Amino acid sequence: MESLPDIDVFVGNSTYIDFDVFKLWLQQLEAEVATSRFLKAKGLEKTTACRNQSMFYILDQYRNFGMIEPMLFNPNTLSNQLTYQLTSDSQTQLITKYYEFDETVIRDLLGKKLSKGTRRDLDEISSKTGVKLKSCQRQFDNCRRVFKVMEELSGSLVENIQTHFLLPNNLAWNYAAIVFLSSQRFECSKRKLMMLNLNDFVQCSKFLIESWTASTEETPCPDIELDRDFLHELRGVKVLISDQRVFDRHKQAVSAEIQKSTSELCSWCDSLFRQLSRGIVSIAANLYKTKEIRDYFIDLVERIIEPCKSAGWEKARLTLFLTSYFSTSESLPQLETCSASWMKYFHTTKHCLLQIYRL
Amino acid sequence: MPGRLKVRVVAGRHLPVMDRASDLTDAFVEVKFGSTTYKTDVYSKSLNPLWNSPWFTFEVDDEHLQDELLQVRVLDHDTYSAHDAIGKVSIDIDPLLDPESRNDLYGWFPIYDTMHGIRGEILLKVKLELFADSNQFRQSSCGFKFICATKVPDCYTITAIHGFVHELLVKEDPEYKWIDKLRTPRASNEARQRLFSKMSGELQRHIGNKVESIGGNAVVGFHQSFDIEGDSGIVVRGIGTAVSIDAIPRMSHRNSKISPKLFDQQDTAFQMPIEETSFPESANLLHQSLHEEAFHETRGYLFHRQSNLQGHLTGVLKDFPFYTLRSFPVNFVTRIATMVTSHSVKLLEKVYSTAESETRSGWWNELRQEVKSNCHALGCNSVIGYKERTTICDEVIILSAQGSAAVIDLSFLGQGSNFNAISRQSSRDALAPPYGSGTIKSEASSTKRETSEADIFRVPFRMNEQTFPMSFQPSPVNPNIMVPDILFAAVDVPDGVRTCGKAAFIQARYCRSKKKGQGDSNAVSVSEILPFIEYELHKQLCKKLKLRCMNAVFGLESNITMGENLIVGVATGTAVYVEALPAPSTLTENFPNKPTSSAKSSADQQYADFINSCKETYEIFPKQIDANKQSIISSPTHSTSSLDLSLDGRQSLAIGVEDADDEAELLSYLSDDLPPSGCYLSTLDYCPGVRNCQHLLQSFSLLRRVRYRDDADDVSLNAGLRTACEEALAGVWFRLRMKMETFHICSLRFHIVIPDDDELQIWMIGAAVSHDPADPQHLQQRKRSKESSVSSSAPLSSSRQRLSSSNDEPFLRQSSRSNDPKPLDSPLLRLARTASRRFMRSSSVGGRFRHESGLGRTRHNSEGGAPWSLPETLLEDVTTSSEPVNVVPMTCVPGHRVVKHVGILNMFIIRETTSVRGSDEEVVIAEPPNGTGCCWFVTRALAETNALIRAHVVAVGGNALTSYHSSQRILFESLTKNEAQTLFHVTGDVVIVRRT
Repeated sequence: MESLPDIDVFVGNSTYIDFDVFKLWLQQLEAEVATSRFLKAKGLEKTTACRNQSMFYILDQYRNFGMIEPMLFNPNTLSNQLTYQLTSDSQTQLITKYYEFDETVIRDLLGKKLSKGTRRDLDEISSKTGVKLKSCQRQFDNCRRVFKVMEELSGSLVENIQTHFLLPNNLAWNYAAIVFLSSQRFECSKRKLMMLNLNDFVQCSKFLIESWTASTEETPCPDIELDRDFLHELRGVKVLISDQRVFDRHKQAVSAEIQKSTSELCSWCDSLFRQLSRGIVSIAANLYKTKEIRDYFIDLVERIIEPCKSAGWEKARLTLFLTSYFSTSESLPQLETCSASWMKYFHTTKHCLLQIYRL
Repeated sequence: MPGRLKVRVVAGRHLPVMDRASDLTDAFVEVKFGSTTYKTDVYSKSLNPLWNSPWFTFEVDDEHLQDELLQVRVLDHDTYSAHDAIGKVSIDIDPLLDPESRNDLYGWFPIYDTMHGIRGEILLKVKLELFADSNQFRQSSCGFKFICATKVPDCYTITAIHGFVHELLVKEDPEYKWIDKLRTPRASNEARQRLFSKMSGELQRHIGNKVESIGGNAVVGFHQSFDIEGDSGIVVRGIGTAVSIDAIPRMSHRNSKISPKLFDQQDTAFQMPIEETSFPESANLLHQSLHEEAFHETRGYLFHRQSNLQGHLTGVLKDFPFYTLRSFPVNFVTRIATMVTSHSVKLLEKVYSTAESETRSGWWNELRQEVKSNCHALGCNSVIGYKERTTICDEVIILSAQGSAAVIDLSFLGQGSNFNAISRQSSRDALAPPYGSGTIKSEASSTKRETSEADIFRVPFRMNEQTFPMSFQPSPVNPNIMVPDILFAAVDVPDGVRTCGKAAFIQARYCRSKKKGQGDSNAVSVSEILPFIEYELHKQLCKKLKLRCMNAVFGLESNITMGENLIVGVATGTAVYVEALPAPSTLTENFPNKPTSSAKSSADQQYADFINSCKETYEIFPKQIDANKQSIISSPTHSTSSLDLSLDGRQSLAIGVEDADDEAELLSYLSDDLPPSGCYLSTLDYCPGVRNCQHLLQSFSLLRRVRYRDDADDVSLNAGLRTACEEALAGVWFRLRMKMETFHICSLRFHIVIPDDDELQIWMIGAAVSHDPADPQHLQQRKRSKESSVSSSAPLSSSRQRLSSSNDEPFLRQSSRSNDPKPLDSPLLRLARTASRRFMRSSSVGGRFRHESGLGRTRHNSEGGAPWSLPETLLEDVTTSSEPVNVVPMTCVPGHRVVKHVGILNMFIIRETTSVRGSDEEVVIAEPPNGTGCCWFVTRALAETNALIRAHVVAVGGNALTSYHSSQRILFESLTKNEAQTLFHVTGDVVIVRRT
C-alpha cells in the first residue's frame, strides 16, 4: 500500500482555528513552505512522519479557511451561519486578522481607484514589497469590498465600517481613510509624498472626513462626499492675498502675535510669510476644483512643508506660525462672509500639516 | 384523520445569487407533505427574503405521519424558463409525534442541495395537532420511543425488558432504475434520499407496532442500517431491544412497592423462559445454579412486578435471546462468557423482486439461529451487545452477527422491576443493610462484593463439558471461582468490575487478497478466507493484549470489509486489566530466557521494553498480594487442568514464538504507537481508569484514503494496512494536541470501506474529552506541576515527554493570547448591533443586511437570548444559542446529564459533485483558496453533515446529539468523469442535556 494517503481529512464538530496557521495562510504561503515554518515555530521534530502530520494539519486548516473565507466578505454572516461552529472569540479574531493588512501594500494603494485595472497592476506592488501577489489581491479586495458597501451607505463612515465589517476601531479608521482617499482620488503616490507613511494619511483623512464631508444629521449622505458648498465658499479667502492692504495688515498682526509669545526676533517669519500665506490661501481658494482637491497633499508638501523645511523650521515654529496666522485672520473683517469655512479649512489643514511635518 | 400538520415559512437568509445580472434572487418556497403541495409568494430581489407565509395545513393520517417527510423546497422564480432549484430541507417530523413533546418545531434549517451543499438557511415553523386515535386496528405507532443509545438514558427507568426486535424492508434503488438514465444526478439523489427516509419511517412504524402489541413502549439500542445492494435493491434493517420505560424514577416510590411474596413470584417468572428455550443437558445445571444465585443475589433488591405484562411475551421477541444494549442494569447479567460471531456469505440475485424481504429475513434468521446455538454451546442463555452488519461487493454479501454470550437473570424479562433506580454499584451497597441483618454489615458486604465481582466472569459451563480450547484459572479475588485467563466482550465494562490502571486501545487488523471472481466461485473463495481472518484477528488480539499486560477487552467490535480483490478484518476494542481475572502471564512470570542467538535476546529485550512502557503508560501495578495468594491457593488444586486446557500448551511462555514469521509479526505489534503521554484512547463511552473527564474538547470525523496495488502480496498489504491505521490514529492525536496537551479520546469508531479495487478508506469518529475546560490557566498550572514530577521516568516516556513539552510551549503562548480578554470587543459589537438595527429600515443595500439583527442567530448578542429560536417558555432552561451544539458518539455528553430524550435523528445525506479535480497533486502544491480536489469535497460534505445535524437538533428543541453513529459512510470517486459522491447515514438521539 502507498505510504502516503491521497486523502486525509479531519473535520470537527466545532471548528477550531489555529491562528498561527491562519497567519501563514493570510500570507498565502504554499502548504509546503507553511509546513516548514510551522515545524520551526512549534519546535517539532523534522522527521518525515511529523512533517506529514503537520502538513495534513495545515491542509485541514487551509481548507477551513478557504471555506470560511466567503463569509468573511460579509462578516455579519459569520455570526449567524450554521455551517461552522465557531466561538465568538474566534469569529472576532478571524475577521480582524483577515482585514488586517501589510502597511507597505496599502500605502501603495492609497488614493488609487479601487478598480479591476488597479488589481491587475498589483504584481508591481507585490514585487516591490515582497508580499505574495495573492496576499496583495486579498488586501486589495478587502479595500474594494469595504469601498463598494460604503458607497451606498449614508452616515458616519467609521460607524458604518464597524457595523458592516465588525472591525475594531483603529482598523475601521484605516479603512475609512482608504475608502475616503480613494473615492476622491487623492494623489498620494508622487515621489515627494513618499516620506508620508500610512499613518500620516490615516490621521489626515480622519480630520478631513470629520470636518469636510457633506453629511450632516439633517441630510445624511455618503460620508465620502465632500461638502461642495463649503469648498465654493472658500473661494472668498482669496482676499487674504489679492488685497495688498489686507495682506499687510494680516502680516503685521501675525508678526505681533508671534512676538508676543517668543522673545526672539521674528525675522524668520517675515522672510517666509508671503510664500506661505500664498500657499495656504491659494490651496483653499482652488479647492472647489476637483483637480485641486486631488492635489491637496502634494500642494501642502510643495507649497508649505518644503519652504519651511528648507528654512530649517522646527515643528514648534511651524505650530506657532500656523496658530498665529489663523487667530489673527479671524479678526479681519474682509473674511466675515466665509469665516466658518475658513475656520473649517484652516483647522484641518493645520492638523494635517503638523501630522506630516518632519524635519 | 388523526393529525393536522401546519407549516409556516418565515424567512430565509444567505441565499445564493441566482440571477447573475442583478446579483440577487427571486425566491419562493414549495412545502410538500405526502401528495399535497403549497407555495409561498415570490419574494423578489433579495438574498434574505421575508416570506412570512400563512399557515399551510396538511391533514394526514398517522401512518403517513410516521412514514412521510416534510419537504421544503426553495426555488428561484423565473418568468420565462423553468424555476431553478436552490435547495431543499427535509424534516422528519417523528420527534413531534411523541406525546410528551411540544409538538412543534421552530428554527433555521440549512437549505441543502445534493450538488451544491448548503445554500443559505430558511426559518420554518411546524406545528402538529394530534387527535386521539381509538382505532385498535391502526397500522401506526405514533409516539413510540426509539432510542439509539446502547444504555438507557438517565432520564428513564426500565420497567421491563421484552427482548430482541428486528425488521427489514427491501425496496428498489432509484439509482438503478431505468429512469435514472434520463434524469439529472440531483433528481436521482433526491429520489434516493426520499426513499431512504421513507423506508426508515416505515421500518420504525413496523417495529413500533410489533413492540406495542406486546406491551412495550420503547426500543433501546436501536440500530438501523442500509444495505445498498445495487441491482437487487436497498435493504433497510433495524434491530433493537424492546423495553418498557418510565420517565424519571421517583426514588421514594421504591420502598412502597415491595411485594412480600417477592421470591415466589420470581421463581415462576424465572422458570418459564428456561423451559421454553429448551436447553440441552446443561440446562438443568444452569437452572440450578441460576436459581441459587438469583435467590442469593436478589436479597437486597426490590422488584416491583407488573404481572399484566407476563402474558405478552410473544414468540416474536423470544426467538432470539439477544440484547443490543451494551450497558445493563446491575445484576441483569450474571455471567459474561466470550464473544460469539457468525458470518454467512450469500449471493445476491441480479433482479429485484418483491419476495426479497422474505429471502433476507430468512438469511438473517439462519444466522441468528447459528449465533444462538453457539451461545448455548457456551452454556449461556443470551447474547448481549449484539450487532449485525453486512459488507457487499458486487453480488456477494457477507452477513455478520456478533455479541457476547452471557447468562442473564431471566427474572428480569417482562417483569416490572424498578431496577434503574438501583442501577449503580454504590447505591447497591448502600441499599443492602436494611434487608440483610445489620450485624455482618461491614466485612460481609466487602466479601460479597468481591465474590460477585469474579462471579460475572465465572465459567458458565462445566470444565469437562466444554468444547472449546480455552484456558481457565482461579480468579485472584476468589480462588474458588474459575475464570478464563482472558476475556473478550462486546459490552461495556459491567458495573462493579474493578479495573487496575488505565484502559488501552487495542486493534487487530488482518487482510487477505482474493482473486477477482464471479458468482458462486467468488462466494466460495470469500467464505474460505473468512475463518482465517477470524483466527488471525483473535490471535493478534490475544498477543497484543498480553503485550499490554491486560486481561480483558471490552467494547470489542470486529468488522469484516470485502472489496473486489481484498478482504479486511479489523477488530477494535478497549483493553483493561480486570482485577478479578488472572494476571497476564507476562506480569507474573519473566521471559524464559533461552538465548539461542543474540538476535533472539535482543528481540526479547524489545518485548520487555515494550511491556514495561505499556505498564508505565497505563499505570498497571496490580496488588502483589493477589498474585501470591493466587499462586499458593491455586497450584495444588487447579494447575493441571488449567495447563491442559491452555491454548497451545505453552502457558509458561508469555507469547508463543514458533518461527521466524511469527517473530517478525510479533515485532510488528511492538511498533503499535502508544498514546501520547497523559492521553488515553478508548472505544467505550468513557476511558476506564481515567476520572473526572468532564469537558468535551471536540468531536471529530476523519477520513484517510490510501491506494494499494492490485498485485501486492499479503505481507506488504498487511504492513500497509497496519501503517494506514496507525497513521490515521496518529493524525487524530496530532491534530487534537494542537488544541490541548492532554485529553482522552472516547467512543472511537473505526470503519473501513473498500469502494474500489485499489483504494482503502478508513473512517473514524470519536470525541476528545479533557479534565479541564480549554482554559490556558489550568493548562499552565498543570503543566508546571507535571514538569516537576516527571523528571524520573523511563527513557521512552521521557522522550515523549520531551517532545510534548517542547511543542506545547509556543502553543501555550498562542492559546493564552487567543483567550486574552479583549476589552474592545463587546462594546464594539454592541455598537455594531445597534447600528445595524438602525439600518434595518433603510433598504439602500438591496436588503442585504435587512434582518440580520432582527432574526439572525446572534451569537455575539449576549443579552438578546435567542430571538429566533424556540418559544421562550420552553427555551429558558434548555440552552442559550451561544452554547455549541454537541454531537457525540457516546451515550451522554461528558459532564452532562440527559434531562430529556427528544427523539431520534435518522438522516441519509447524499452529496455529489461533477467538478472534482484530481487530488493527487494536492498534497504537494499549495491549495487554491477554494479547491476542487477530493479532500475539499469530503471536508465540505462532513462539515455540512454536521451542520444539518445541529440545525435539526436545535429545531426540535434539543441541545445535543448523543449516540451519534454512522453506519454508512462512503466516498465514491471517478476521476475520469470528475465525479465524486459521498453517502452518509447518520443516526443518534436528540437530547436535552444539562451540566451536572
